[in-house]
Amino acid sequence: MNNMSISLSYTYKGVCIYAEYNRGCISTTTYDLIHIGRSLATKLNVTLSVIIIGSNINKTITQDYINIGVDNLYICDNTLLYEFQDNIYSDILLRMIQIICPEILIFSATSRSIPLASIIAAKLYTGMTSNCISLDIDIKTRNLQQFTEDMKTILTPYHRPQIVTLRAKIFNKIRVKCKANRIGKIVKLPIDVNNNIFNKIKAINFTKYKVDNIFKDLSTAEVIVSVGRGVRTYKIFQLIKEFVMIINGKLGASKGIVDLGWVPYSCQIGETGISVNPRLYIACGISGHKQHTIGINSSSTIVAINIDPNCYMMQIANFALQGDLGEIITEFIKQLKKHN
Amino acid sequence: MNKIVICIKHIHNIGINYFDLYALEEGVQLKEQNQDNSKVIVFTMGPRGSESTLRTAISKGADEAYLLTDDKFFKGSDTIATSYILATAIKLLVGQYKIIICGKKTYDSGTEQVGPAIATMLNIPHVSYVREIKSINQRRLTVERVVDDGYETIRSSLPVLLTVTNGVHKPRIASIKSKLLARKANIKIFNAYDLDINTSKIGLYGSPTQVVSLYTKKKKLKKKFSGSARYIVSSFIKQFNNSI
Repeated sequence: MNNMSISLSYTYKGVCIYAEYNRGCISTTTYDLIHIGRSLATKLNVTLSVIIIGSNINKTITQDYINIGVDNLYICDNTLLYEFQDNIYSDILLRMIQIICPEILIFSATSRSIPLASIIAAKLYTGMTSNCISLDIDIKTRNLQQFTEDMKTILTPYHRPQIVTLRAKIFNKIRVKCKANRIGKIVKLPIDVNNNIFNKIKAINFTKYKVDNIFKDLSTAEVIVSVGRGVRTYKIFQLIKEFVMIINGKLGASKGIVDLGWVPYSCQIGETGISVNPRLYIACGISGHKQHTIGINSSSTIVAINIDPNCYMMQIANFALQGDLGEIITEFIKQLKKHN
Repeated sequence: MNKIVICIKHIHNIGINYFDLYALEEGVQLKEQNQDNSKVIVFTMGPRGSESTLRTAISKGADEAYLLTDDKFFKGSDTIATSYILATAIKLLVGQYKIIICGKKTYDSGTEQVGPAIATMLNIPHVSYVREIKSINQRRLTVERVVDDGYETIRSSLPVLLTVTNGVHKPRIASIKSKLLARKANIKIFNAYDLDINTSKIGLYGSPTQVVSLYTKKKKLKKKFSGSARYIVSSFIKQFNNSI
């Protein structure tokens, strides 16, 4: 059985990326995926393909992707596909994969793409690793080394394609080399409108999060920006809120800020509030009294921004940024916006 | 009779997986809302010790419990293989069902794959990350789900598979009486042979993915940045992105 799978694996060639497209918008994580996919494809000396499924797919995007290193684009564009619906998209995606036969298939680890990737893995009965934080290739065996957040290295040795979903970088700032008017192939595929899945399932409404959602569900959040007395003015507080929105985080606070009424009590972190365990905790103008730091002990990475280099928070931080809070936040917004 | 199937996972030293409690509660609520003798059936695949988790489920309102356990063939199954075992068992042991509910992810590995994979193997639609069942009748249901950037309302035909997040119904606390009854309840146990399953697709050797090693995290970093705001931010982002 395994021997047969090995010989089968040679018919699968190339790296393929699924670019999430929903309600006329491409996911911002796609550039990240293309960057990583390009380097894997170059190491393996194979082509890089990108699949886009949706409605009214923007033409400038497709040339952009080719310019930054995509060789083949497979597009399925139909007004019936305006809303992302994994049960419907999976049939189209499966057909494309059967045409492309990639050895590696990469999705971004989002709430839309993970279930879609799972359907494909189940239909093809192949390996899939969720929420990878990085990838590498073993040139000899052509196996993809999949590194997960819980510190495992996972391989899919005898099955192809090797499917992964990849976590987005929090500070999305990769610069991709761009070559104007690079040549690439664009393949357009029709859909089967008679497919009865269209009658089975349908998205009927969508409500986008409002700003206030940055105050919700802190206890399970992955990225938390927290403000303390060092914020000084309401204007800087507003800038921090904008920064939180850009990096898709949640906003917490020390007791002083909650007492001012700028942040609801449910977001107070520390002894008299809640404990949090995010992947990344950014403390803005928090000196780090014990009553506060007791609530952040299990955060994996702590970043502190403070004018005082000797305060306790700056001592325990993995990254200590010393300077004026307002200026540093303004600079963050400027640099991160430039990229997106 | 309407059958409501719940798939749960036993986590070593913890018991029932957190999100699976919400899946179970949602299923028991559905049974209680409809007065038409619905039945809640729970499944778990795991070692013999998972039996205690099935008894927890019975004490919280489940009617029937199935334990899929096989030290020789099931052990070491990855998520796709686990989904295959569960889907095979549901097909064989339940037959017709109205709805299948799973937790959105597990706390130990958290792959979020099992729900959609089971639905695919059973050839039914699925909706992930559901927080509320808005309405349900004999033919279809409407649910609200949570996605990265908002809430989405989805209408689906039945049967359907849902994966649920910690939603509107809080899991109940079992009474002493129901706990005692659950101790005596009959747990049905099945192995690979009973299910007539293709063993080359499951277990440590049949699973598509293999865990080859555990790597240790790099030593905790301590880095300090000062200077102009522009320099601080750009050098921080560069070093932060390289640190993981």
